[in-house]
Amino acid sequence: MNIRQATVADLPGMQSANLTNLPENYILRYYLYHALTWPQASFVATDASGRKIVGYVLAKMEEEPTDGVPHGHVTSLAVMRTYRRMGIAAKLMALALRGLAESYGAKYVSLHVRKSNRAALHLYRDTLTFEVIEIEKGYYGDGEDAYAMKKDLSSLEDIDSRVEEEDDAYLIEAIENLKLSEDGRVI
Amino acid sequence: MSTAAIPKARYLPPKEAGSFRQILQLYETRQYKKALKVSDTILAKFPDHGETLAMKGLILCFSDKKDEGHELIKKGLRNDLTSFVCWHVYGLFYRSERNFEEAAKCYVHALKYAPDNTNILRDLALLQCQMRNWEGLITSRKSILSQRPNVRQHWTGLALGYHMAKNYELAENILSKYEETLKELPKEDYEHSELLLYKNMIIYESGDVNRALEHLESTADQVTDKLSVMEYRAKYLLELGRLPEAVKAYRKLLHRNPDNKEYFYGIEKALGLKDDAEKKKTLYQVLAKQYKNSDPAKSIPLSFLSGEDFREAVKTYIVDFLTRGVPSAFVNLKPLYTNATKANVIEEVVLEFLKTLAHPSNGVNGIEKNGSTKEKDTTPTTYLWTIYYLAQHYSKIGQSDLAFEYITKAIEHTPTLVEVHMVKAKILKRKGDHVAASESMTTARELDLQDRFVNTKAAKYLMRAGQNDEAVNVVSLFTKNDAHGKGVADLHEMQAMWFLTEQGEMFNRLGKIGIALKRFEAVKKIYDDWWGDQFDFHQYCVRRGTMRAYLGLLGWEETLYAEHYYTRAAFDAIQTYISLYDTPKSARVAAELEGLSEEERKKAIKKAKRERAKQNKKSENEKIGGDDDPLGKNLENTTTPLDIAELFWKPIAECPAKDPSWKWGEEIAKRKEQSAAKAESEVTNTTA
Amino acid sequence: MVPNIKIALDDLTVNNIGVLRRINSVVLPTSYSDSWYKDSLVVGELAKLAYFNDIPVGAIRCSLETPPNHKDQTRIYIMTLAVLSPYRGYGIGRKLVDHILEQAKKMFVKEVYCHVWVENEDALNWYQHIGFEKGDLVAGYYKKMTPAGDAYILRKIL
Repeated sequence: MNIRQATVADLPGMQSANLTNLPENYILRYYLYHALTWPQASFVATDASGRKIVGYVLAKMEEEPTDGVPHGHVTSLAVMRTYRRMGIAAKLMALALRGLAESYGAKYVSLHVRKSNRAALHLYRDTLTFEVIEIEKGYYGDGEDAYAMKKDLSSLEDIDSRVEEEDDAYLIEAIENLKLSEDGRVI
Repeated sequence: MSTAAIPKARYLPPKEAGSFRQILQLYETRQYKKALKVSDTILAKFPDHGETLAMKGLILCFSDKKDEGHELIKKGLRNDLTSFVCWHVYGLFYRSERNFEEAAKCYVHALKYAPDNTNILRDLALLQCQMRNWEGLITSRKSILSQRPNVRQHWTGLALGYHMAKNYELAENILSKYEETLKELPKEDYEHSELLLYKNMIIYESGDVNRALEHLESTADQVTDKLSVMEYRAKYLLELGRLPEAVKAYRKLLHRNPDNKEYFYGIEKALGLKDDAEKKKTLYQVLAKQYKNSDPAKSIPLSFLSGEDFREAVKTYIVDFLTRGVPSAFVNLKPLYTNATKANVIEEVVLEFLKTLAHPSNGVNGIEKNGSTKEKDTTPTTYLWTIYYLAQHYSKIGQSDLAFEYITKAIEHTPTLVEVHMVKAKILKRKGDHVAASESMTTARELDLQDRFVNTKAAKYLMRAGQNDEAVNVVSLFTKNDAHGKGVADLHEMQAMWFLTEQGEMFNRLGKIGIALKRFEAVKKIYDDWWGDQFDFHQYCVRRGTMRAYLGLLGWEETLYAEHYYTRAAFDAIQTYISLYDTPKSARVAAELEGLSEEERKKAIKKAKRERAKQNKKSENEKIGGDDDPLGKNLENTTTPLDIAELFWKPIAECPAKDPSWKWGEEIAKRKEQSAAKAESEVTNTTA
Repeated sequence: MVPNIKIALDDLTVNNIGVLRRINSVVLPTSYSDSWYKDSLVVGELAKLAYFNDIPVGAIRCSLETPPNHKDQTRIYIMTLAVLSPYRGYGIGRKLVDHILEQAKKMFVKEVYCHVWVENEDALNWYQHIGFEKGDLVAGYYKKMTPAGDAYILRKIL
């Protein structure tokens, strides 16, 4: 498994993963629009070969926020059934949220979940600490209601400086030792 | 010819000249009906006025009257060959037809008569991007910039031209000059941030990594995309041989995302570990401890470890998956199976692990829990995932009987688990029993109707078993359906490649050549649309400032026609067209009827007729958006199969990413030569 | 390493009704009609699936019996209760029955009952173990068995 930022070349694979996993589908142009407007907001997970996309998050900024607050929106998130329970969805989401906050100054991020999709609700509410804002009646094309959810991004952890402060010494030491073992001794 | 004086034929009195300007405005605001009315008033007095004719034609084209419109545009141009408006209109017409080459020619003509018209220059620049004509783009962009130097996108546009022409110095200079025009440096501004990173990319590509690093570090506080800064910096440090700093830079990246393999490889390189498996083992032990949630920290070592080290590592890796009940254990290890020794070790490890488990048949069975098996892992799911793994393992190494044995046990154990039925289906498919495979996949689907993944698989397996109607019913549970409750049209619209290729191949197997070709043509059309889709982004990205992503778009388009689904559909189509050429229809019919008695022959022909009638009746199910040949009879009956095959092949032949082992071009060319030689000899024969 | 065991209940829906079919068909001797399964979707909380580490392995399906006259009590009848054999002994059946008892309380229903084949000692013991009382013997209750099987009524009065 490999997780990285999505590129334009990933889009057909994302579209294909979307079509074979989710009921809400989009033509490639819509993916292009995402990737060429907010390139820092979408991420993919590939299989061990690195060629096949097994999960993705497609996200964007709300272009005209009604509340005047810049915020992101998760358009689509999918992980193939055969790759579930590895925490891929949570990892993809965490990266996308950071991208939205850092690159575009998103203060919060919103999304919709099908009312019947228990697994997704569990992921967003329990694992990713989104809150349910309201139930939107008949949000989906087939008439199903949606949970409108959001998560505040104002308190994202500063992970970059954590490396400097906390555990640098530990790894550097291990790596130093590694270098010292040139004579064949392995620590 | 003088462009200063208005030629007589173009002259309009002030009133009509005003009306003409009104047409242009109405066209811009898409008020086509009104625009047509106004043009008719001019044409009533000046029926040969070229520019009015051309504009009317263009508007007709956008009002679903393309043929009539096209004629008028041509007529208008003939009446006023030196009008830039007429040429621009003709260019716009070709552009709307996605005939970019002809459109560009028209714009160049238009510019002859209006060299400074920025609208035409901009339109031309977009076409030059589409056609990768970078020298041309530089000329157009220079001209635009000299007229509108106060807009950022015109600077970026010119820099792009130089960059693509590999003139890095000028590209960088243009962006620097733009920065000099700014009174103050914008902070936290995404578009400016992207511009800085674009410039950084240009410096790096020029080969001056040192300066790229300097530039990156000196502008980092103005860049909002922290991840790119970190990734670029790590890469630069590594290339510059500043290794301890590179290690640290990659570790910072791992803190953000411990599942990106590139970061691990970066650390390996920075530490100079190359093929030293012992040291790499130590490194990954340290990293796996630190990044506990990282999959690559645990999975990368499996590729370079061997012997006992491999056994230990793979055991820890697999057992963790099996006890946590992660269905993906096998797909994660699949790449290791190219190494037979490793596959063997995996088998031993999993079988050993199975022995340590409390077997459910002699373990806890009944109402009271038997407390005496505590020392073993008695969790039924651990046992289940273990035999599930073994089923996949044996299927992969070709021992389908053992695979079948394990999956049967797994199904007896937990018949409610979707995955076990899916794997059974796959085992049966590998054995070639498509009907039974499809039944198993359907069983899986029925356990979780909400999951589109298994729905898709079930439909695919039905098609492999040749059951089109049922397959269409199944996919239609997740699509926007037509009046007959079918989602085939929606799957076309949503560009569902997997469905189109699968269904096309199924029709091919069933001998329904026409409709099979129809599906392959549909795939080609989608790829052609994708090629065209980039067009709007030539303008859009320069305006939004997302140049790096835009370069990704240009790069992707270069590989487009080498992608899996295009080549698969194209090769299917080419093969079919070639066989249509090799065995013309008369010969196919004759072959079918060969050796039959007169009576049988009559019967067979009658039966074929009935089948056709039945198919035609059914065709409404397959009808896509008013298509008058839903069964593709016209494709099947083509008299030029090789020409159509060539249309499929051409974009692959021109694709830089193509695989040199693809030989269909030669197959087509060979037959074309034969056919030309035959035609020639026929001509000589008749004239002799 | 012995992993955590997570047991949870979830609703029966049109999308997972196949699970109820499968569990009943492999565990229970009786088969149920399509219309019975269809009706299972409209009894709300009285039909429930049980999950073991996110895999569905057990199911309960009851009906609410409203009496034709005011003399008799409204009761909940457990029509089917089944847990796949490898998953027995983890308290799944009990969790399913407890859920029904809770529903009964919420609905002010005073009695939950079921039939158990006289020969099925495990089941008879189990129901009594969780607080059900053995009631009348219904001779020939299982008509499809040859010879027809007798059943005990087991009931819990709330």
